[in-house]
Amino acid sequence: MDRLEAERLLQQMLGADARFRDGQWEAIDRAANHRQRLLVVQRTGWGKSLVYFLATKILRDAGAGPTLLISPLLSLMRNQIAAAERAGIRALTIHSENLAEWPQVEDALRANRCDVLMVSPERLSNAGFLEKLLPLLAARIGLFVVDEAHCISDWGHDFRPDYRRIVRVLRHLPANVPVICTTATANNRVVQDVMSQVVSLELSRGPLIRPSLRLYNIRLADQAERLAWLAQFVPKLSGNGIIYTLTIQDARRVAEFLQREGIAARQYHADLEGEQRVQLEQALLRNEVKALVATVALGMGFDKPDLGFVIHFQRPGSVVAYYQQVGRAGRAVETAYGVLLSGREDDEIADYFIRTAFPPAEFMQQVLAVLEKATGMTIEEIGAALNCRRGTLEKALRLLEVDQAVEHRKTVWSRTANPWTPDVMRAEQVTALRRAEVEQMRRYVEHTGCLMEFLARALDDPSPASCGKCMNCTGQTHRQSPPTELVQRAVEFLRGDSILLSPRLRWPKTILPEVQRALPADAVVSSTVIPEPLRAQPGRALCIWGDAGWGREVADGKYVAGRFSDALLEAAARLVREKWNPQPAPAWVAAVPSWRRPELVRDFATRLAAKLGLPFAPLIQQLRDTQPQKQMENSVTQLRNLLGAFAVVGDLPRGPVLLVDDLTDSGWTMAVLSVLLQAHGSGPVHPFALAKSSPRNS
Amino acid sequence: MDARDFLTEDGRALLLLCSTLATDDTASPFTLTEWNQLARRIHDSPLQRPAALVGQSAHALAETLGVTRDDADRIVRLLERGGRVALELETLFSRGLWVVTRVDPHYPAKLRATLKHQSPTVLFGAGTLSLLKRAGIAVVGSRNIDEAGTAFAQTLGCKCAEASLPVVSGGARGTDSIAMTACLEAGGTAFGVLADSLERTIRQPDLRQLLLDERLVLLTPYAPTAGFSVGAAMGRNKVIYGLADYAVVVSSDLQKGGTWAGAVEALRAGWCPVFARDGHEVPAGNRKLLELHAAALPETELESLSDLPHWFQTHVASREEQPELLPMTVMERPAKYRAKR
Repeated sequence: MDRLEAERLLQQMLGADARFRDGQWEAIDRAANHRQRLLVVQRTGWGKSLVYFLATKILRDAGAGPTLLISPLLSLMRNQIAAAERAGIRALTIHSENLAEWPQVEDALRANRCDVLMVSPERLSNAGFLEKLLPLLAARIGLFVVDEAHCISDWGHDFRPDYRRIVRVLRHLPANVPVICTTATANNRVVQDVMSQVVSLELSRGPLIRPSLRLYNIRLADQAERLAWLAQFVPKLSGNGIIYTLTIQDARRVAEFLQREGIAARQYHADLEGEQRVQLEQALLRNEVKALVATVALGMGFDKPDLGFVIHFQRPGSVVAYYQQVGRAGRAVETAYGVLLSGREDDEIADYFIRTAFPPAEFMQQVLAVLEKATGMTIEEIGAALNCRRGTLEKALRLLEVDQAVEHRKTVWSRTANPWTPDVMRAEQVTALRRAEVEQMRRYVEHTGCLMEFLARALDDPSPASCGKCMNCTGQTHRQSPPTELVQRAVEFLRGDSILLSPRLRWPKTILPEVQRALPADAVVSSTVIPEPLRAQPGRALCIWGDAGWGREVADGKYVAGRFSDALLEAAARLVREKWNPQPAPAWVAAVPSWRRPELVRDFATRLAAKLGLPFAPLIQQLRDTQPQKQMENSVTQLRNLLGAFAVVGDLPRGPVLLVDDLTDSGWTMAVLSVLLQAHGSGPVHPFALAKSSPRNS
Repeated sequence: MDARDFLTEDGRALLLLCSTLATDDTASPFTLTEWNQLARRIHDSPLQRPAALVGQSAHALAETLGVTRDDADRIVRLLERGGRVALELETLFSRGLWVVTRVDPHYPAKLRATLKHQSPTVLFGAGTLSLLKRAGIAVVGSRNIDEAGTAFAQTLGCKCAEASLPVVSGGARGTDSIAMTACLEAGGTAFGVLADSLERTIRQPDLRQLLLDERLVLLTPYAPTAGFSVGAAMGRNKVIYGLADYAVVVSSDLQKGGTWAGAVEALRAGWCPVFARDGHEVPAGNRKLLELHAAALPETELESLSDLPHWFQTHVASREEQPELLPMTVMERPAKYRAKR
């Protein structure tokens, strides 16, 4: 097929005045007519899907089998699929959330009525897909498309183990099957890495600069100041946008504060259900909310061409990540804003993410040693055998799976027959790279030249140039501060922002017998469910350990002053009485005992009881020393650490009780003491802690 | 490059043409006999190599190779499933399996040299492939085995371990597993040639550990997920003999069973010198094999043997050399061993 004919198809897809953009026809021609393997690096919105749809059309007309397209973004490709259909290209989708449609897809494949089969990367390792659907690809694949190909590179931030599998599939693919890999974010290092892993790829690369985007950098050390800045400036920005935070906790907080200030902002992160997230995306697409306050969970593939702004509440870890996120703004509008706020906590969070990225090699070997003794184990069972955090274990398993040393079928993990040796060098190199990337972002924040040019150079754009629009190009470097009363409201918000403590509902299955031996008989009935009469009520924590509200004051009380301040006492009493108001109302106060520092919490609980006008009863005893819970790395070891450590002695006051602790982590202490208290005749237990530890990202 | 990827471009083509991986009812893979004929045609055509078939039209193939249009269509269909086979291979590799074909340099040289045109086109396996370069001792026998046979198989397994000779066996119940276990427990190495279920077998923790420790190699000429069939059990016999320098029949039924069939075929084809356990109460099959010029390995002598390789070397029975019926094509001609009188 020649250019003219292809352009006619393009017009069927996109309208009569559509023309090929720079490089589009060349890419189609190379893949479809010359059966080359291509790596297409073009900015989002350039029209990469057009390339593979038209290449499919040409190959299909020549009698080739259907295209297999692998993309993590399937649910967001409806527009492109509709456009393809107008040119007579039938694309069907398979992912974990459309199981019900699989039979229709099967029929279409059988009848050769499918031109493009679009699957998510994890389908490639799904037995159902491999055994049922893949054989129906009329036994042949005409074109292999890998979307978001930068995920192939483990130098990149979006490295996904599923993509390692794709690389190996490409390696086994006969040379006569053309391949198109596409990405919008790949610097030279990532391009080289992808090209070294997928052999005989030819590069097709365009400029990354987005002319509509106006970039600003604003440094405000305190969270309160940044919250105030957002509340003041977000309403002034035209259109709708995204505010990125580094942690889930901050996404929730920022959204709540903005709502309180009358701004239609919603939190978006991995803790929300899939369906809820889709609704939130739709709301933003339809301009029903001013902004989504999101973690990286709002990621690749969210495509709103008229997105008016992207603001970062904290500094991302790399230029690649920043460009990816800020690049969502201004795809099809004349002017859009990209504002990077940065603050005091940025370095600490970046450092935390880097430190926890690679579990130590010894730990990986321990995981293998445990798996080698068994046919298969669940994550919980492995975690029970090793004292490790679930997150660390998940990371280790993921890395081991990439190395093919382990595999999983549904929730059961097992060792494969592939040998494994730790690649310490590789881990060190990647860590060093991550540190260099953070350093580059620090330089970006302080850069006095054109900000867009800085990003373009950092991303190895072939033609970087000054944008003439960013704050440095236009000389708009004078910073406006939000009014003091708004900052004060933000401080108060942070201080009054209590944290919900969800009660533990189930005992870990793996140590159920131990729980049974250590606790009163009715604590464990027939299943792992903690019986409702013995469960804790939903509790509250005053703050997150170390945060800008009360966090630092709690840390100071615990480790410096040795006594919790009256300000904290006031805040705690106010929280219990006004904001929380637990029902049925507590009739007395108990404290979690401490072997090493018996006075600290008891003193605070006594004062709190007095303040609330309730009796304090020191009836819980600690029978032996326990390890600090924060040294216990997972749920099972945390619970095991507590079993048999406490006893309730003497006659308990009747009625509901407020159970006070200073720092809560896993919630197991509260769960175990709730069981003991209620088994000894107390009323419902309302847990309260001064601080909750451990934030999470994504 | 994946350390377990032994397939060359030619190997990939051969795998597509001859393996049942990802096949459907539209085209059946080439059998060993069919492949031997096709290999000859490829060799004699301008295409020369199996990889050159990929991307050719059925019309062109019929012309160049002089095959029927049906066969040409079949070749095209089989080669077209490269994408799907790529996905299946990836899954196999990720579990620690490997695949190697007769045209790949890593194919066990001894097997190719011994079995010639009868060597399986495709081998699937797990464990370190290069271990198969070591000359092994095939230990074969029936599943149901008497006390004397059990003791003999155990002693032989230990002797092999002492002499650093791998035990080659079928991995089945009875003789196979007794000899292999004895050898492995004595610190030796073993090659298990399976008739079925390779993929499931390597998931057993103890076997997996031996694979990881490079003490065990498991392999099969059949698809890794294939179930048991009598034909397959017979078909893998030749691989056992083909990987061994010497074979020992511990106990065989007379005129029936896999052990008997395999041993008779080995004697007839001359894959390797065959010994049979000799003693007062050995099964009738053993006696008959001795009559058919299997060399004797007396029960009484095994215990006191100190140099197993030397003993085998000096006790090989004579045999006539078989004429080559089908000349080798793509594969190189093997050097033939000469039996000692």
